[in-house]
Amino acid sequence: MKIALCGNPNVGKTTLYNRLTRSSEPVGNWHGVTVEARVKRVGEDIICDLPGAYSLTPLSKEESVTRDEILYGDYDAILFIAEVNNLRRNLYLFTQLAEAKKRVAIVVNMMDEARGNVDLRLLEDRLGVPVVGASDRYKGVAKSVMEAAKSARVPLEPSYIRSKEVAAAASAVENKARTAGLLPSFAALKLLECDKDVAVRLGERHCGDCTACHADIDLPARMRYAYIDAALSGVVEKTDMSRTARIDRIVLGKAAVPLFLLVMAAVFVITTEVGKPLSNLLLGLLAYIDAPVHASEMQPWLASLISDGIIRGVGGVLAFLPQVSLLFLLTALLQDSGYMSRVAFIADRFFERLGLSGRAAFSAVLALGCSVTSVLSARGESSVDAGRRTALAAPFLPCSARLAVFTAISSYFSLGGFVTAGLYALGVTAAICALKIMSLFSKPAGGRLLMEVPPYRLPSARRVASSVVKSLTSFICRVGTVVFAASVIMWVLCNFSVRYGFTGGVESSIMFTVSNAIAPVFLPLGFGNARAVAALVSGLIAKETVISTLGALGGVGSAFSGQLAATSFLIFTCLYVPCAATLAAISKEFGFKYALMSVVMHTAAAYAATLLFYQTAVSYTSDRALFYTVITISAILVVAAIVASAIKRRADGMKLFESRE
Amino acid sequence: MSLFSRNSGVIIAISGDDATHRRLVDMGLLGARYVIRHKRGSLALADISCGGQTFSVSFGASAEKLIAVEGENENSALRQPKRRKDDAL
Repeated sequence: MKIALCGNPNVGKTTLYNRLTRSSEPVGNWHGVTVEARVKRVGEDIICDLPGAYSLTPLSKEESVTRDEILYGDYDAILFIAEVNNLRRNLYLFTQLAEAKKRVAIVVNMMDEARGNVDLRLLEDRLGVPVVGASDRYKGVAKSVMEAAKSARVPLEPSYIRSKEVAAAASAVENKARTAGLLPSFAALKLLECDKDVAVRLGERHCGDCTACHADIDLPARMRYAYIDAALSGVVEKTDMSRTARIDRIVLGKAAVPLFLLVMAAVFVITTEVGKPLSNLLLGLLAYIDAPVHASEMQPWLASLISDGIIRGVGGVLAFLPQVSLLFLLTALLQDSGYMSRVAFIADRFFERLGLSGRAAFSAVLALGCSVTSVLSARGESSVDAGRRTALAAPFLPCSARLAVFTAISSYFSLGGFVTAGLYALGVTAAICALKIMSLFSKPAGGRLLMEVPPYRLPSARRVASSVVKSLTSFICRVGTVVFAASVIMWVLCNFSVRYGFTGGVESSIMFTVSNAIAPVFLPLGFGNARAVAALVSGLIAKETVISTLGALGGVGSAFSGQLAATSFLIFTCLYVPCAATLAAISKEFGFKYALMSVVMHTAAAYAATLLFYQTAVSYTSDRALFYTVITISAILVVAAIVASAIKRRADGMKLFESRE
Repeated sequence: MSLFSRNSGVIIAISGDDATHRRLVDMGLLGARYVIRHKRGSLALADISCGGQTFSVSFGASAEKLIAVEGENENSALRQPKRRKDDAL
């Protein structure tokens, strides 16, 4: 049996999908977490999780996916998920499934959060389809939901389909609708509300400005809501928003911004400081494992591969699992509680100045975990243009992999927590500057009309655990696959010479020769040596491999002359080119041109910022460097002035980021 | 009357381009009662109630031009969205 899960955004479709399929797809207490259809086979059944949609007349890419799957997919049953406290609005999409005569079963989700009694049996009688209650806290939900799916039925025909307006419109398009594979009454209702896709399929004219030319475009909506109100009469008790309102009085009140900054600071401090002792324990464990390898009598190359390549490479990254786990846990708690949706409200004014809407705050917070998810979430922006700008700027914010690099290097050189905090501040500043510059080339986001804000709820242990497990699994998989492969490749490149084979010495290795050739470019930045350059090159695959490569090349200490060079290297790592997976996501979502733009933008920003930092810092410690520092800073200022002038001149006329809404 | 001129009322008409109009109507705003709970910059957070159920929505400044309302009690403090000062209602 092929079953599709559909419903409005943020009603818990993916949570239910995870329970039915025993998956751990990302979930969140906000709309737009699912952006494409996911399919998984469970025994003899195939279950598909569709993106959230308000209607079968789509207004976004995700809604088009859902509409196409429902209308033209070959599903045996549709599991319609509705939220108990939003049944009226959620059932609007259901009425269109009834109009299209699809086999449906309804799952009323979040039953434990119902703000009053709900009579599901009465609803079942009125709609003519199986209705089951579900909750994250209920046991045996998967079984009852699958039973409902198996007994899915075509709903009772809504009374308005027999109204004279719909009947007249249906008879007018009957032949064309049947040829297009649509029911005449469904097609008629869609034409009455000016659905462009149906108009095109039926060969009807679509004016493109229906609100101006159509007599009563709202007729189908009014009829549907009248039907829903009749169906819900006596089914639900009046909802109470007092708890959410009370919390919002504090969270969105005068202390909103300080509270937000406090929450973000707490996340940062807990992640770095609480995770540090646990990381040290893991590092101690690695040293304990590493010692017998060196003491053993195995072949030197094998001992080197296990010790330098695998234990120091892969293990060095895994040692930062506690920090990364804490970051994932805290982000999941904030998401599930409903606070993250308020962040968009709080941050809207700030993002408005950067030409975006508050929705970009989601992408920004996600970027602290993983740039790839952040780029994918940018799809939910109000326009393609706003999404592109968000996706290009978000990788400036340090992801969890970069956090591992910061922690490893700053711990080794005793740089202190303020350096890591400073790197986060640098990433935020770079993202803001990038957005501001890009906003000069494009129209402001137009998506500030309306956004749904979910009620607060107590984070569910199951949902939070599922989200953390999913993120951690992805992190460990990357370490086990990409980082492992990169560590071994880097070990080979760092320990083998073309002429002599295994040398066991870095100085004659392939990587050393290549990196040596590139290294002079990084001399003005303070780390113009082959070890540091090799680490940066490996970081293009995944940022975690920066540490593993340094480990394979003789340790963090051998790559830098001191604290200044290490800090300079960290600044470059903070801003330079995103990992291959992020670039692939940008290319897939917005095109290769923008992935290339990301490479150029990040490299230029990283080089300029590091150059400025290092040369300024050196001028305080060396008289000889002062002259060069003045020259360098002057050159940067001249170039910046030329670029700013060019941007200013071209900003009005040029549309680099074209809107295609 | 416009949406932000009152802290509560009933949405009686929705204008705007096809997509915007469609979205707001699909969400069940037409005929719904609204109560603005918070305002921040050019945004307003409102509870929308209809058919006994309530949900929260944040409206942007552009919503003011598109949504016509019938007011209940005028609130001078909420007459226009403020650009500088936050105020919880």
